[in-house]
Amino acid sequence: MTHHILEVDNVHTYVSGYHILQGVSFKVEEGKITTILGRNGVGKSTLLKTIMGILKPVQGRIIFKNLDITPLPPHKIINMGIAFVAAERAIFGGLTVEENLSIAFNGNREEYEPRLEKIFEIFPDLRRLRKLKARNLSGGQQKMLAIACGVIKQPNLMMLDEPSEGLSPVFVRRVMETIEKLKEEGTTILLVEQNFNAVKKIAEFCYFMDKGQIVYQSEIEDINKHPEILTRYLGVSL
Amino acid sequence: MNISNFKKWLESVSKSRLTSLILITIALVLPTFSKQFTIGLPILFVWATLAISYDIILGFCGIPSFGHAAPFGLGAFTAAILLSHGHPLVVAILAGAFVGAVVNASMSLPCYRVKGIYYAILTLAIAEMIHVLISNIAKTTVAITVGTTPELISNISPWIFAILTIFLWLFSTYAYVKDIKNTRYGRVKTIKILVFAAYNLIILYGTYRYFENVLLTLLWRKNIPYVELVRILIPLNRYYYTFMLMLLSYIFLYRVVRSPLGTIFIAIRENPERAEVIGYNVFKYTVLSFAISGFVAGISGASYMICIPTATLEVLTVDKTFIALLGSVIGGLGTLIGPLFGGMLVGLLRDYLSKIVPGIHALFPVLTVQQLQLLPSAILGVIYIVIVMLLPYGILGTWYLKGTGVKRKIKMILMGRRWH
Amino acid sequence: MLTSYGILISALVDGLSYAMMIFVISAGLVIIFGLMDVFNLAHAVLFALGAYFFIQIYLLTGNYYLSFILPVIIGFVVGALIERVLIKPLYGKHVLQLLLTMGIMILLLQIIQITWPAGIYFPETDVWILSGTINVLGTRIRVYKFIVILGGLIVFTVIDLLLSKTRFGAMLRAGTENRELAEAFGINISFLFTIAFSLGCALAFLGGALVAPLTHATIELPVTFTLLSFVVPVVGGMKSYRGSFFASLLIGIIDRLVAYYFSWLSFAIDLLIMIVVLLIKPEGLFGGE
Repeated sequence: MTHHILEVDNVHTYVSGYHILQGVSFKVEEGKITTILGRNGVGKSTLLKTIMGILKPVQGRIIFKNLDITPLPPHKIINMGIAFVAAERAIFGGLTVEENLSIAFNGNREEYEPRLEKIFEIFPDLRRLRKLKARNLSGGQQKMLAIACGVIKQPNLMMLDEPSEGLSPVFVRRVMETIEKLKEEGTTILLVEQNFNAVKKIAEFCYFMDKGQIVYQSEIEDINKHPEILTRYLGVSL
Repeated sequence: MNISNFKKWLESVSKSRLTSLILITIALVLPTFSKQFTIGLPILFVWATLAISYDIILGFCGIPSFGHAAPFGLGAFTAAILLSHGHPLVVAILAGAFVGAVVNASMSLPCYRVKGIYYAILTLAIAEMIHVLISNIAKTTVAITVGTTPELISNISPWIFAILTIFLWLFSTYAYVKDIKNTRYGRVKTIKILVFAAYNLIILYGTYRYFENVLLTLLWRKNIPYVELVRILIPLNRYYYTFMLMLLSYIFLYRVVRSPLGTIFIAIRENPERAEVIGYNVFKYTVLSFAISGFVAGISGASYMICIPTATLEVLTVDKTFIALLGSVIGGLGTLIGPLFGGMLVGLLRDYLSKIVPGIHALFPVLTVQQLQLLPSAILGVIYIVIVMLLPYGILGTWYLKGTGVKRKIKMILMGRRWH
Repeated sequence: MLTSYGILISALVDGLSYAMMIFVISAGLVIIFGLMDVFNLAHAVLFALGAYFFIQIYLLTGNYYLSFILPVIIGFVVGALIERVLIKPLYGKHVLQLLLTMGIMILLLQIIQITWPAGIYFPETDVWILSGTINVLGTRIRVYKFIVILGGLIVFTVIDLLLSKTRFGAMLRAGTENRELAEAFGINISFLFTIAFSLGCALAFLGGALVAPLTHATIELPVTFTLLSFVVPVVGGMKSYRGSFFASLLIGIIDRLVAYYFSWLSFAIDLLIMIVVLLIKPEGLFGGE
């Protein structure tokens, strides 16, 4: 019996009067890498923000770990075990690397040092850069820091918004490898992307989103067998 | 403009502006009812004029300015100076309006660089600086006494207003009768007839009082002592002048707001970037709106000098900004009519609350009367905070926005289920 | 010859203590505004309230330390109440919040005038630090002015350390930089706002308590400092406490020096400085980060 760590049920969200999410429903299986694919403007970021509680839906429910988290404020949702890596401006430029990590950390004081060490093991570059202000890092390093800020929470579910955006192919590969490592350690991953090529190696289940709704879903194998799915729902070819 | 066009205009006005006509006519008749009205209302008209001038910038353009005391105060000073030197009232009013427009427009110049909250703070600083500067430079207390304005003791104006009242009454009666004939629903018809009767009673009573107090005195008694003449004429004229200034300012602003210019103002309020991108020089229109607002604020300042004999520095205090702000917010920003009544309401509250101070002092002798003098402003502050929190659109604004449900229920009751 | 140096030093001390007064008010204002986008128009009035409370408590107890600590605590509580009850419900509506703080300012001003219609004055004491003077190159200078200067410098240092060295400070800076991201990082923004606002108000009360022996508590206090509390953020940068520090120094010293020779001109000069900065660098000298 598959366990779904996250369930989104018929969610409608408005942003500035516009009906962005028009009844989104999907489930995220625990321990797997789920991706949501869609072009610009379909509502992917809005969806993640709604799950996190930064935006509130006018209709529908969000269920995390069998609890209805829809009415909760963001900090409570996050501290239940969700981490979020934003698409752009994902870290605080005015704070140092170490400060970014320290405010992302949400455990007891004794656990801080050991977890910080673990982070530096996974992201050795950050150890070297720890005293630098985050805005002085390169784009790829900033992305790594953003992911690290998510990892330091040891979340059950990690949501990443367009993790490949603005990165060179080398860094995209590094990011995807890191994500896969996280999945192997038991973290459930929810990826939102427009670039299928970036995630095709690690994605296990794919949802396609268009005009504020989920329009198609399939296992990754099906897509590899039938690449026309991509053309139809993403407007690109493999 | 030939006769048929004029007739058509009268027709359209009679249909759509009936309520306004009735209210205006009643207002013209009111001073005869009681001395209370004659003495108490003029200052309220001043505040109403000030509040509607403020609505243009905050309600329609969406720009918060906390320096509204400046055009008001400087307009008042200008009018006072001119009046004290014997210039005609009309000149004084226009000069005050002009000064108000220039001052306010100048205060809007920083909008080019500074926006929003920063700008509001700046205007507060500027207005206070003007106040402090004048008070510091003039080594003594500033006070300009207006003296007796000839227009105020004119005995022609009561006649003019009497004729105006009669004309308006005839016109509104004609329009009302036509409206009643056209009403279909019995219940509504009955109510309208009742209202019509009440209206005419008010007018007739007012006319009677008018004859009794004013006209008889003026017509039949030849050798009236000057003092008594003045005692009747001045409050009456004060009332009429301030009322007309308020009315004319309102009509002026109403026309501005309903014109394409007004739409541009609203566009600036809703989305200034987009307005700029479409091709409107937002800064130019901002300055223009401030100039128009300052013009009317200057008029209200001059109007204030009709009511008060001496202009002191208190016309420049932030208190006046607060009246404009409070009146606009309570009445309903962006509705224009809301701030009109809002301004009057605020003035009334201040007045009323000041009057009950001795009563409170009797109940709670702990505080001195001087201390209690400040209680009205404190209470007003509380009311202001409550309104900002609960009714951010103001009384009228909330009614326009959310009142459809209530209006519908009223209509259903009146028209007996046939309307839905 | 020496006496004129003495007068100069006296004017300088005056300017510095005045600058520190302005700084203590502006610091809280700017930090709150940077984090919450709420410009607390009532801030200077809260500062004055701190002074009133200080003197009142001192007249009752004679204990300096108590009179200093209590207003700070009261300020914190008052700030928390205002934030929770009045400001938080208007979250996101900046114009309304501004109108609201104006209402609070006016209300508090009325309450101050009702409660203490003639103001209250700090009494002469035997304590040299509080009421005594020191002779510097022939001029007598109030010792307490140096205390005020010291106090202001301590406040600046403490704020600086708080913001740059503590996790709380990092959270404040993060929230100021990008509120939504801070929420996404799991920071309880609502609570942070309340704490920050309360601390800001406590700071305002602290400032008032600090300067009360020097300025006494009259209606002049909130009126004068309200204006200056607007000018400093404009000059120094609306969201920068460092900017407030240097802007306060600039304005404070120039204001007092001008006031020494032409007392009526000082406000005009302040306005002039503000206009010049607006023309050259409208975000403020340290603004626009």
